[in-house]
Amino acid sequence: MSALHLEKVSRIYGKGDVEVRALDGIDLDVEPGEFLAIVGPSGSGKTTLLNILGCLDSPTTGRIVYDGTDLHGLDETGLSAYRRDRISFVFQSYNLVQVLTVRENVELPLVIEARARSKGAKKADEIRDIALAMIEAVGLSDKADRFPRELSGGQEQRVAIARALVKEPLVVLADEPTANLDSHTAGEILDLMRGINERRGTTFVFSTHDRLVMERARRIVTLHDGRIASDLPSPSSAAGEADKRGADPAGRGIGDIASARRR
Amino acid sequence: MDTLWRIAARNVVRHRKRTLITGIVMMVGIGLYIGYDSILSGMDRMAIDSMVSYSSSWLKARTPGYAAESMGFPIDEGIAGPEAAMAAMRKAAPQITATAPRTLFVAQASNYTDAEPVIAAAVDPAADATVFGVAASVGKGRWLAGPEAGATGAAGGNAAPPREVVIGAGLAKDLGLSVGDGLLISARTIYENDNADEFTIVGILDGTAALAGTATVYMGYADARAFLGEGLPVTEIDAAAAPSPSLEKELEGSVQAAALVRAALPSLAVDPVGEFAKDYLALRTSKSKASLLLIAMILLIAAVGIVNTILMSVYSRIREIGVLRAYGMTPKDIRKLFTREGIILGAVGSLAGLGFGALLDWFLVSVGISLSAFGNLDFGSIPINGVMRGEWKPESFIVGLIFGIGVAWLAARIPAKRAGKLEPTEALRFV
Repeated sequence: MSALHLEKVSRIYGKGDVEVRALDGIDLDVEPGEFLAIVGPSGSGKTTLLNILGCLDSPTTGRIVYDGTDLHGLDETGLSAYRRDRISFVFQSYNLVQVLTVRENVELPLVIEARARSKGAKKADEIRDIALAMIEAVGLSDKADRFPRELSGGQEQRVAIARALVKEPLVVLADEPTANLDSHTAGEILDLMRGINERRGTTFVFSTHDRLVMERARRIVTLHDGRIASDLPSPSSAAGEADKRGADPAGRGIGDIASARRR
Repeated sequence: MDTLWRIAARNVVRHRKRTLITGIVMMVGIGLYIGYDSILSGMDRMAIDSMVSYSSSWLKARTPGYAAESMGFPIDEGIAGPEAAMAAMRKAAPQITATAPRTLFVAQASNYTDAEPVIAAAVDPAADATVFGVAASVGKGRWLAGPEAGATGAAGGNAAPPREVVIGAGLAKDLGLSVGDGLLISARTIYENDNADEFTIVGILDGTAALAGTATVYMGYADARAFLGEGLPVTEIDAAAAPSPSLEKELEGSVQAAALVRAALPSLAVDPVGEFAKDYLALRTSKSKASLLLIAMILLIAAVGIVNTILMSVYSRIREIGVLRAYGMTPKDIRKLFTREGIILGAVGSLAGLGFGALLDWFLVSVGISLSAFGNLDFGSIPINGVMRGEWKPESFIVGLIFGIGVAWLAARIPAKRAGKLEPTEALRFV
């Protein structure tokens, strides 16, 4: 079963003369564990597609099926719940909550989840342990009590990745995650995500212009005027083994944490 | 601590300048309200204390006939056996610490050139000093003294010592008289004829007593009986009690004592001080309404400040709202986040206001405001003068805190609602 299934998805803004067809009949299947890049020129519909995949926006027409669940007709509360439980985001400008420490930022998705559940919610101690393990996995154990303003851009993005992964989402949607980073740091961050993808099987979907992302992606979907212009395996995906060797050692522990949590 | 509270609290701390400005507005507002309420309360206390000290006393017993026509000061409505009645009153109501007889009558006071209508009081100089504050308010000269002290039933001495009066400062000024001068008093006697006699002014009251007292001429019973007839009766018995910690207790105690005395002396009309202060107490209700209006206005200003502060907070954190929404927070959670920020802001401002109010109260209670610079003020026929002091009023602190936090909560709902309405996609795009 596909992790994500999009069927004739269109997103139209405005009406009549001012109608903008941001997405136009998109069919897309994303398999579990994919490392997929959505590319295309500005205005091609990348962000709209990512918003629809992230349940932040609803398609005007078409179906979206997540892990066998049809999201058609879910209201805002239902979509919020779906986002909370199954989807995570990594943003271009990290978007950490400035008044929370690294640990508190990473705890946030679990806290939101716990707030929503009256039964079976994780206890504060449990949430703290999971968050600390995740922070350790992204190599920032010594920064757990720091605030975002005390971190470098690369460190902030690592925190954002830890925050995205802490609740074991079905899919991580990353919107230009390397755009604000220098190429060295961007490479490190991508290797970290790729390592997580390989060890945990977490599905990653990127919207990007970055060559480094495209190099590491296994599949590249190119959008043009709201339509899929091409959907191809990445030329570099054959060289995946070589990529794995270059992965950030910090990413190695994440599969272990995930399996420990599942136990 | 719950994460929403933590985020809210840290944002309040983070934006120190905004918090400080809003907090100061609230602090000043609530502090002023507490101080204002304290001074109003002190003013009430002062006014009622003035009545107790100079005119109505804490509790007054008269015959029902006198009480019905009290404004005419009928000297034929005497209390039978005043000494026994006073003893019975003290026995019936143990709160009563002292009693004194008085007979008020209408007279004309003259310096032989000009005349003025006055209300005169025949008093027992020694006993009167234990119930009223008139004796202690003699500004020039001395209070009534002499052999007639306590002579409520018997006649005065054999020889005719110079008849003495103590008069109010206003009368002395109007007639251009000073201590040692003679004052011609004419009045209707108990025999229904007019009599006139010269009295020596031995004391002039200061402004306080002159303004506060019903009577402006005081004389001993012996002199009064020699002047108006030996059978001049006691027309009222006034009683005093130990000072109460609060005005409410003072009024309440007076009502309770009046009930006890009424039961013991059913033939007398017994009135507590509150009965004489009706007009003033009615004025007091409208004053407390005015003080609520004041806090409402001040808090309205604070509310505008809070709306602005939280609105600024919302706009500076739109992307953060987008992230929280993306991670599954509902619009309701977002609204809560910002209303909590408002509540914290309100609590900080209100607590600072309570501190400021306590400081003001401390000053007003222990130092007070000197009113001598403003002269004698008259509030609803009750004089306020000397040093005006505040009173501790715990309820104004509670009202201040509840209003402060409540208004902050209400005010924060406006921007919080706006934050909750933000679409996550728009919020995340916001730069």
